[in-house]
Amino acid sequence: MDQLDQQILNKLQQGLSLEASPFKHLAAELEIDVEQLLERIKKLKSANYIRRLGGVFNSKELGYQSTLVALEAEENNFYQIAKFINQHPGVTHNYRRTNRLNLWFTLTTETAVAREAFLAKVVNQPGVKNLYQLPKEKFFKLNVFFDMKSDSEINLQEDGIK
Amino acid sequence: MTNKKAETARLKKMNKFKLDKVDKAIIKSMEKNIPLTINPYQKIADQLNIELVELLDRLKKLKQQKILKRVAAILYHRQSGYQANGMFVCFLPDVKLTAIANKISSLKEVSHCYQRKTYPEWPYNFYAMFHAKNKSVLEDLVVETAAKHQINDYQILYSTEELKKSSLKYFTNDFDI
Repeated sequence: MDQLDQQILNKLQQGLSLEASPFKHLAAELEIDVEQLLERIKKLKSANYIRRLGGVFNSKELGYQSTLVALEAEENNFYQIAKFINQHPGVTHNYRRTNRLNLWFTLTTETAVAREAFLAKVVNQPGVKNLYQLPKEKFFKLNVFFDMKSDSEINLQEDGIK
Repeated sequence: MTNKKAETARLKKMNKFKLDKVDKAIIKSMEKNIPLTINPYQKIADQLNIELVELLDRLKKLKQQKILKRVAAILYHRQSGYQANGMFVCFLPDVKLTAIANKISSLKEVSHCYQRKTYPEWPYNFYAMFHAKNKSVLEDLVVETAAKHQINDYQILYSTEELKKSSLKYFTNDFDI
């Protein structure tokens, strides 16, 4: 990954313009031609730097609600439980973590009723010892912009993206 | 407890911006990858059977309504040099919470910060996601941060396995598993 790749990743995280040829616009900003830019983006995708390049929507504005859920899961049943949870389309993140609470996932549903119904099924899966819903009570920060340019130091830019 | 009526009222309020079939189709199409071509929106418009101008107008409107945040890249952060990701959890007493939370939020190594619900056997009300080049850098920073704010009861939970990571798919009917 060279400096140009880093610049491209930074620009792509900030967002493309809403116009007919957004890559042309970006290429002009970077002073390269658009074919070269598209080639680079394809490479960054196949090298697993870019997970997805598309629309980022506000689920809350679309009427969905999210919560964080932590489970204490029996090791013997761990993957079976994870598999059950993952089939829900509203589960977008699911991690094993180093703790008594060893399985953490986010759940987004259209209604509280749907959330409760699903979690009631989760808690009944074999090997689930405890389930905690950990909804947000207060928001302080959400910043998902990763500055690729600084090599020596991490720089999650303050004014990145909210 | 859940209450169907309150739920319906909330959803109605949320849908203050009524989305029609075309808006929903646009969202469904944009929640995937956009084509890597010179005119990606022309291609999407063709697939949706609408004019390019209409697509762009609707996207701009969705953006104005804050339904569309942006059209952008989501990275794999492990691949991007941020190898260590630790979830810091601690208990902060009410009187100190906002002040300390604001301080910790202002750290450039912290991406997410929330106050969350607690339980007697899980008393941590404050969560901050720390990112660093490696675990030892991350731990030094956490120790320093905790000492500075006199936080004694805290934990760092590392993710050791990604079991699922996807973006939300909207307007699906398969939410009721």
